[in-house]
Amino acid sequence: MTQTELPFAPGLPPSAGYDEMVTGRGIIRRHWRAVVAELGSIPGGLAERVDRARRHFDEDGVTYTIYGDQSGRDRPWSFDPVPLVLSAGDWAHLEAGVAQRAQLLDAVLADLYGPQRLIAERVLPPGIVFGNPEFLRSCRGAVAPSPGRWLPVYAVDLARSADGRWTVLADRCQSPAGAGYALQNRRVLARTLPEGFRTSLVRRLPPFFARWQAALQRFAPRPSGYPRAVLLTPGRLSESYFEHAFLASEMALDLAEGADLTMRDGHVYLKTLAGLQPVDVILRRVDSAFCDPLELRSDSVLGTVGLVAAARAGTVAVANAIGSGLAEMPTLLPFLPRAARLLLGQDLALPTVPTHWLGRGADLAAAPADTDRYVFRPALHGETGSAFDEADTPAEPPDAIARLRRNPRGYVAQHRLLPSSAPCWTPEGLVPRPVVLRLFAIAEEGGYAVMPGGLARIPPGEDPLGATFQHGSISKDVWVLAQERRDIVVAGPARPAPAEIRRSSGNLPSRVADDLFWLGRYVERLDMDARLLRAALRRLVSADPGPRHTAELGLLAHLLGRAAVIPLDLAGTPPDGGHLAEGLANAVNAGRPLDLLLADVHRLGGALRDRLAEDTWQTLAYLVGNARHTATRAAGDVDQAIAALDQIVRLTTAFVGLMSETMTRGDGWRFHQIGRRLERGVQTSRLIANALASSSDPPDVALRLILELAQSLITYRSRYMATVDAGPVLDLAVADLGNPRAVAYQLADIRVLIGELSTGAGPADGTDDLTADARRLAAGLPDAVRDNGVSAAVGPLLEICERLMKLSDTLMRDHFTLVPRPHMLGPHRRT
Amino acid sequence: MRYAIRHHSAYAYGATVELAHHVLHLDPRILPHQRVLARHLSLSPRPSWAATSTDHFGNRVTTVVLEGTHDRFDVTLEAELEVVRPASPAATPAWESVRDGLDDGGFSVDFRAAEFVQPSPLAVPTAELAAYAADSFPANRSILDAVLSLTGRIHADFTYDPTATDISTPVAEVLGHRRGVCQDFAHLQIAALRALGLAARYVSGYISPGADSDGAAIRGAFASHAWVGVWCGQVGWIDVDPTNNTIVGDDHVVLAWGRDFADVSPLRGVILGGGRHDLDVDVDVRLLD
Repeated sequence: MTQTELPFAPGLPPSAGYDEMVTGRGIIRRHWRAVVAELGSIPGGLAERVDRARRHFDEDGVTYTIYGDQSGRDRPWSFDPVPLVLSAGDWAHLEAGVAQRAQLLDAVLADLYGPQRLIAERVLPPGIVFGNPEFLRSCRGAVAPSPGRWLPVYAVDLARSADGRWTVLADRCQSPAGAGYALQNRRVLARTLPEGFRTSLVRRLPPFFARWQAALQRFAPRPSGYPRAVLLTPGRLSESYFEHAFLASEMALDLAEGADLTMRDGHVYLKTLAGLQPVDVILRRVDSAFCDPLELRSDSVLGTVGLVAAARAGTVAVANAIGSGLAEMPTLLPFLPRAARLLLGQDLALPTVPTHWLGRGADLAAAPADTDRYVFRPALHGETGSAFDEADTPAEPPDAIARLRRNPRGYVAQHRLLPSSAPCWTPEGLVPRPVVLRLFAIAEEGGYAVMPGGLARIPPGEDPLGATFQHGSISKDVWVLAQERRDIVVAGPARPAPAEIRRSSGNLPSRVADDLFWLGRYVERLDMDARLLRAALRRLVSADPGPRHTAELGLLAHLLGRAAVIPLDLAGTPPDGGHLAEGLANAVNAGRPLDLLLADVHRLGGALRDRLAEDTWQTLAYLVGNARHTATRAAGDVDQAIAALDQIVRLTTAFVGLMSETMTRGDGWRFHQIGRRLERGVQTSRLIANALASSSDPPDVALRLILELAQSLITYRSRYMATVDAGPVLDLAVADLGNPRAVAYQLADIRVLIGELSTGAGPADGTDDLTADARRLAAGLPDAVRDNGVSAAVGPLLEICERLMKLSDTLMRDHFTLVPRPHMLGPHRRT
Repeated sequence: MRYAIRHHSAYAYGATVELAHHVLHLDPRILPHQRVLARHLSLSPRPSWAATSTDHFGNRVTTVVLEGTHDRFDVTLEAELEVVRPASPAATPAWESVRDGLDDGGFSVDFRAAEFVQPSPLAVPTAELAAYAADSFPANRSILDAVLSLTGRIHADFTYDPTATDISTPVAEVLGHRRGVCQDFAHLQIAALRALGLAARYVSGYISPGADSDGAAIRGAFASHAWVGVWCGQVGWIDVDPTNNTIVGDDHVVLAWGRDFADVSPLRGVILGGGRHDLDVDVDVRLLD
């Protein structure tokens, strides 16, 4: 096949660099032929597959959090369906080179945090280590000198230069990201382009993750059948939180934030509902300097006090070791060949992009002027940015260069490398675009294993290292081809002994219980608020507006104001005016309380995605997206706003149903249910109290609304026909233990759920008294209003609210209180 | 000289502390000129876990965890030491040759000293500090003469004033106000020397009030003290005390050293609970013979 037969976009000039797919003579390279044939013969073309892939990423909730975006919306994952194909021959060379480099950087770290031969023997200038903020002195000697311990996981960014050689651009040693995204890319592509996998011998990724999991467990210092490994994450706001949750779930790790862990007797523990559980291995995704406010950055709130001391004591293995970010510094690059000879007695198999440290003497004094040939980067930080933004280079090079000349040691000059190009899909056809490759390696007994795949990225600008997802680059799957079909699957680790059967969930991390509880509360609040607002909006578009409508609308506006769904001053405007109508329709807008609740539900759902059934999370993410989308289009239109609220009510209903059908009845479920019941109890009591307190006499309007909002109209009519009377209404909406919407029902259920908790919560904790009190108040209500009128109900209802809020506080304190936030003791000073 | 040292620190908390972690730099260094005859560290309440290790600078460090509620924490170091410092060398190299040895195209004749040329969080060299120090460093002056000149000028130009600064006052501000305490003067001199390309380190320890003195003449007695170590090329490290305008001799007892105070703070801790806290420190240095 020749180039002319390919679905290329017309009129593109040939690229100056290496082309991954096509030789200089326009011939398709052998290892691309199968995939090219498949791409060209998809019935209906690639466009439809691209759409499908996008939908899969959406449904899986694959996102990348963009810093500085306040709306809580994550960036959707951008993905190109055309894989980057690597031949078996290329791969053999890359695999050996990456494994060697990982071994070298592990040895470099072990040396710099140990005997420092590299400095003593004048391989490395001392300044680049001692002046480097990533050289963490308290970690000196903190890791046992055993291969792979400093760098259990390594990633490297490569580009293929014009001569066809894969060249290292940067090393990733701090806490390399992207392996999880690579697996996710593969899963989506396997679904959308199954033909490709049938005709090409693509090596599979899952065995790598099984090996990784086994490798992590082997690091456990305690000889134990079931070492506990956690993934330490900065939390939901972290840019690659999706990946943290994804990896935790793939490799059966508990997802933990720094505050979920505590160091007591030299050991690190995870706080769970059943108490403190020892942690053996930490897969670290918090940057080193933030890991321990005691020995590292004291302003960090992401770490665990005493973690460095525990690592030093050898009771916990941290992967990567705290301090490993040091090996990312660009200044290390020019010295690596000598380091390899000193530490490994080898020459590096993979070339590195030529890099010069500007602090090394006069020979490079001229370099800073040459911005065409060089890109300048900060010398010590592994960050990807150029020393000055590409944007300000043309405008003010003199300033930037002056900056370099003032502090040459702070910068490296790197040759600009034109990466090879690979085909990318566009609606007009395939287009060759420059591509950067990230590969991953893990330390195993006896050496490093390289993932037979990776993450290819299309950088958005000219700088290949600008290919960060923060800056919006596009990712591709990487296909490593096997020579023979039997090579596709490389054996995973030996099968571990079958697990014992366990039914208790006492090991549930407290943070997870806390999140489930709040997810329950937020979903319920969302449901009640949406129904309340919908009731008001429906009256606005009623075909038959009468005085009763107007009175109901006035009361609903008041209730919405008290529930903080609309501003209080709006709640007081005349119900027949256009101002209120517009205000009510706008209550679904972005940034308003309902939208924020939706964002909270999405955020908590995302944080729990490794704990929810796959369909539950996907459905939730999908429905939240839809509802927010409809809401943003409402723009003051009442009918559209009602449509958005319908979607929200459908969302809450579907979610509650899914949870109830998929969650095992353990403590996680119980806390989730308690959260829902508690919120419904609070909201219902408050709503009824507010309605009765502000109703006129006779309170018919209020009573009718109470029945409607408590979804009890049908039951009421079947019991009492048309007479609306305070006693029966409050009996049904508050005291009836058989009505799942009644306040008393919530209280009874909460009591049962608390009693079932496996964590030893008993009557002694006061929750029993609180629910008993509240139930007594609820039971007495129908009689009280019969004797003293509806206003007699207001006080007891508000008291029920108060009891429930207190109950919430008690549960939080007894079960979830994470290790409280520590504070630093001011040091004393010498005089 | 033989000394008995008692260094007592007490944290008093406004509310009960449930869990505390502390790192202590309270183990006097064993040096060619300093023998540690006895050393005892007592902690109250007793820690539930303790470990000792050697830090990057060779100081001994004690890490402790206090589990269980407490509302104060008492740390007492009692030590007996003998200090016999050799006389400072009569001749030292020209300061430029020391500087050039520290930076030979990015490399260094002594890589351990080279660490102390680098800025550290509390001792950041600036152009202003370099300008201030420059008067003491004319061409070809021997490094010790130059350093002693700078030490004398800091002593003369700056007023000892415990109310003028606190633990977080940056060196630049101390240079502006010309007031401070031993820690400020040490950081200032360290940063000024680094600004000239020289290696300087922060030494934490004690100073004897003298046999017959009431201590009034000696700044820093009855408290923990700090001074400056300067790398002088082949003759090694020489310590000077800008607070007392002197070369460090047998009156000074070394506890620990690092790049600046933050590396060797005698006590550093993180507590859970506790509310407000007060720290009370007293130091007694007694001459034994």
